[in-house]
Amino acid sequence: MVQFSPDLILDEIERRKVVPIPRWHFLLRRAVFWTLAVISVITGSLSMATAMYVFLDHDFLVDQARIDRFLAQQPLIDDIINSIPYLWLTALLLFTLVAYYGVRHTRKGYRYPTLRVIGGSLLLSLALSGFMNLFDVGQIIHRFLIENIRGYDHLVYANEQRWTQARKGWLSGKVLRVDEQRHALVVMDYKKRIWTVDLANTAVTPDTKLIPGKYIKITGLKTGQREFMASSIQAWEKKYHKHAVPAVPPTDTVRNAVPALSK
Amino acid sequence: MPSGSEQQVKRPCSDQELVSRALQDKQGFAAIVRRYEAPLMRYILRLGCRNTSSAQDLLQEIFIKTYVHLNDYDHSFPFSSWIYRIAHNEIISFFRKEKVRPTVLEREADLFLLETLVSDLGVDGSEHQRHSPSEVQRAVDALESRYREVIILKFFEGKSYEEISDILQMPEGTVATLINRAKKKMKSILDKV
Repeated sequence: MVQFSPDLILDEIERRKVVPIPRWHFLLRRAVFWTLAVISVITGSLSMATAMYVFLDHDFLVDQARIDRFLAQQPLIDDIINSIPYLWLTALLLFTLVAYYGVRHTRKGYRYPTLRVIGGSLLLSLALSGFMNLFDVGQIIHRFLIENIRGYDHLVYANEQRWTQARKGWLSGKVLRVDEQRHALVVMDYKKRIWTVDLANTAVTPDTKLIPGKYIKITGLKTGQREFMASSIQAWEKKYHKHAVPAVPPTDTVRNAVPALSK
Repeated sequence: MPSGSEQQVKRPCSDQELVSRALQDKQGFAAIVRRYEAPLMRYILRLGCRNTSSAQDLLQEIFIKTYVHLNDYDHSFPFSSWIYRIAHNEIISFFRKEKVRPTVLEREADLFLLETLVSDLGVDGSEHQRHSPSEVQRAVDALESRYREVIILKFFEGKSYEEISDILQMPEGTVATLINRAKKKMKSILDKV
């Protein structure tokens, strides 16, 4: 049994050769938790920004004619439920929990109730994601993943999938080049398949520019293995930046939309 | 009449001053040990360490851990809350390691505090007479550890909600909720006696 006395403690400290851990060690430890919390809020914001982009990009939110068309095929409620980007919302939730863990391990983190920390982190992520989407961050992430990461399109139901059903008459993708001789566009869909789109009898939505690098949505008819006859073309608009596109019939001529053809 | 310099000598050093001294010179740590030896030993016993030898070993480990982590002490917090936090964590990990359920000791010095606890439960005078200190002791003993911990800190150690929040590292609101629930549970245990 240890007979207790202050001297005994000092002797024991001497015997074990223990010294106070340097201050920088604790500062570093705290900095790690703060960094973890901040990074988690930022990655949570990226997830939220992508989730917002993916959900708001769906056409049922804008075009009444399209809503009617989809209603005829399946109930709209199912369509909306399918369009919720669960993957990104799950990622947001996970990052929020990591942010909570980080905050909880800072010096005064324990003083704040769990709900307040989680709610605050979510609100911050939401605000940051709104700001990020002013610079198309969600769109950039989503487009990069859907075009480059195999299997991503199975985890998220995106507007690209809705618009890549050539048999049903819907096609979308990035304009690669304008084939002046054949009066056609060369378009790459999100699965990196190259399509030749015939523009012989096509109406183009006003303000749509058919130039390389632009993303477009096409309706029409599949005429061959990778050939498509376009009846209408519209630009792939960012819906949260602009007012809803009015449901006006496409009237622009192809010659106005394709600078290369108007020369 | 004592001169100004004599008054200065008599003024007890603050905890913060003792910590600064201990960081400069190991011998200065003895003053911290002297100041907290008795309250921490009481706390160890109150939390349920029955064996005096283990309690002293535990106390030694608490002080050594305090010394090793002295640089982690933030002077904007009360030092007592910080050292109680270290003590609390050491005691809980001791119980876990030993796989024993802590049992509150019946200590002569705590009898008055038990009376205070009973009156704080809101039991009226006549009923109050029915409960002996050992009955109340058993009621405290029967509580789940998280309730027993807050009851001991509040009624036996006399800590404020803010101090308990700093010791147990939980929000003050949670401390208040735990204390209320613990009091209700104690009342229901005592009603059955």
